[in-house]
Amino acid sequence: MSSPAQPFEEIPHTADWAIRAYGRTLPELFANAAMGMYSLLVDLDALGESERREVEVEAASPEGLLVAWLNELVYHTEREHLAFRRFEIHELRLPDPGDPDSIGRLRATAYGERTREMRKYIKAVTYHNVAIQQDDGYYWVELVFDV
Amino acid sequence: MAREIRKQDFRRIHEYLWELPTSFDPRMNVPVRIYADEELLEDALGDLSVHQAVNAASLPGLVGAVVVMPDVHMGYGFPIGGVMASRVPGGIISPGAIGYDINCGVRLLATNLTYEQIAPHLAELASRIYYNCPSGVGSEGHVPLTAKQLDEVLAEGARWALRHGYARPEDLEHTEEFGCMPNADPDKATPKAKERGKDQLGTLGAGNHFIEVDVVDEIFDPVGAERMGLFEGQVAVQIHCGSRGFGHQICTDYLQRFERVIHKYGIKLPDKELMCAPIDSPEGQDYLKAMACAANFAFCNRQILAHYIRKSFEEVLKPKGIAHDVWQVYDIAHNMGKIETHEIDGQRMTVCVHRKGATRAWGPGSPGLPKKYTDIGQPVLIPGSMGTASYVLLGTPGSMAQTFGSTCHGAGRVMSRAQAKREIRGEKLKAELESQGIVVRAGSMAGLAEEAPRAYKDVSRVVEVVHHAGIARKVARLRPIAVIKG
Repeated sequence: MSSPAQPFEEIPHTADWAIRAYGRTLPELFANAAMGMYSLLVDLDALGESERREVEVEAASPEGLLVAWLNELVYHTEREHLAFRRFEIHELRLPDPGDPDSIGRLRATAYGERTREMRKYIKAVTYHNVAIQQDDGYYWVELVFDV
Repeated sequence: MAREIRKQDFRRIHEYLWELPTSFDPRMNVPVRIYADEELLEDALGDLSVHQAVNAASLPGLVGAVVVMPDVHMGYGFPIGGVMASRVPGGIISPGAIGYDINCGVRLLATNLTYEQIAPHLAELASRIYYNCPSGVGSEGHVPLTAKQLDEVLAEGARWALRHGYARPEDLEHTEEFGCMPNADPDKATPKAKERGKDQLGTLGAGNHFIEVDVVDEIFDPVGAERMGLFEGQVAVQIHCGSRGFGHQICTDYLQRFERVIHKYGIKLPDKELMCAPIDSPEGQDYLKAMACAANFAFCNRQILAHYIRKSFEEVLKPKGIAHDVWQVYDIAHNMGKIETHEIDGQRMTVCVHRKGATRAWGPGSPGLPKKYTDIGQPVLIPGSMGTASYVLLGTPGSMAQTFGSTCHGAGRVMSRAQAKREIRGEKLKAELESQGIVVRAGSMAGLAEEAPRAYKDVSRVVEVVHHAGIARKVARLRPIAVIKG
């Protein structure tokens, strides 16, 4: 396993695109996963921050929250041709693992701008083998994008 | 990590069929059967696709076997090139085993023109099609819809296109389900899916979707070919696309909804992507109705693209005084869940057949086939990878008996998109294709590289397997002369 010196990296997957994201905390992991996803689509350094979108999602598991969060961003990207480069996670409340009816919640702001020049079109963020892992003080997760 | 699966774990039933018995893994409720020759089996064991089939075999309420086609490759949760059937009622429905691109499929149009007639005008025709059928990232179509019109499309499928002058009645006759899934309920389609779909009707999208102008290269079955109106040297057109952002959002939203309730039903999942719900639960029923909406969106989408392809032929050939006709051979889905009746272990059973990267291939005499094809079986359209051959097949009694009326769907990837992008230059590939006489109109060179023929299995080998295994039979081979993609 690589060290979490980098926020994310691209990894091979036969049919689709995949990344591995890292974070010292879960909110950082969620933000880095989003950054990793947009690094596939645009040059993040060249992107401005003229637009912001508030995102709120709920799900029954930490992984469900992560996938729902990224899918919410994908939805804005497709509807409004928006790409995002910076993410502030305001609230990340995980569901109670002891209570199957408990629902977790995420509230965040995504900053970016409209662009017609995207390299890729992510149709969906998948649940494919998604499992948030913890290693010596950092979290990591692999995500597969359907393109 | 799951246990390694080796060739010796399989029982070889015949030259093209291998079975992994339930004794392989105590979680398996049904065996996994793989249609492949020895080399394709080794390819299949090279990624996680067979592990995914084993995972699926542990889902409750399945019957027969999880069937794996020779073009299999790793998907998300369920392999692409996988088929499974669950009991109705009592079984489950799994959006991940149908795929994100609900009713991704293929339509074949044939013309009365020969290659010699079209060759001088091919470049112009390809450009017209590229212009008339918007493709690529975030493309929007010529048919923007109001909310009410979108609901009509979701309920009516290709019938909506017929009502609005985008179809001939015989186009619908020659479409799976006659172009309309009757159980669609637009109220079960999510608001976000509708928001994504409303500007996308009549667009091709990106990824592996394409329009291809082909020549019929070889006829294997003269009787079947004649019935479909196919002859050697004839120009034909294939459309490969699906339900665009609409279908993806339906899958995404229902996976989220299923995740919240799965504990209620006591189902243990080997992979979250295999998220499912009992087919008779409120969630399962709502998904079926929403999936049917996405299927109808895709039928209507391919119909509108067919209309714009006809328009492109008209615009190019009419001024030159070249009389022509473009008719529909058939249109099939290869990502779909269908309630069907099959004979399984000697019993007639109603099941939900999940086909993901697998084509319906109903044999002769199946109810639900158009009159024209009742006695020969259902046409099956197998697009090859870009620049290589494609095949027209027919469903057989063997596909009905062995594979829930299903067969393969294409070539199947062997190289990741990332690897293809690293190793293959889009510009060089375009030059190679053009040196073979293939006209290329592509929006993105990187996108072109990802779909390079080298990134796929050999489609001819895949087709040989299904033909010899008796789960479809060869009728004709097509070779490309123009490729149009995003």
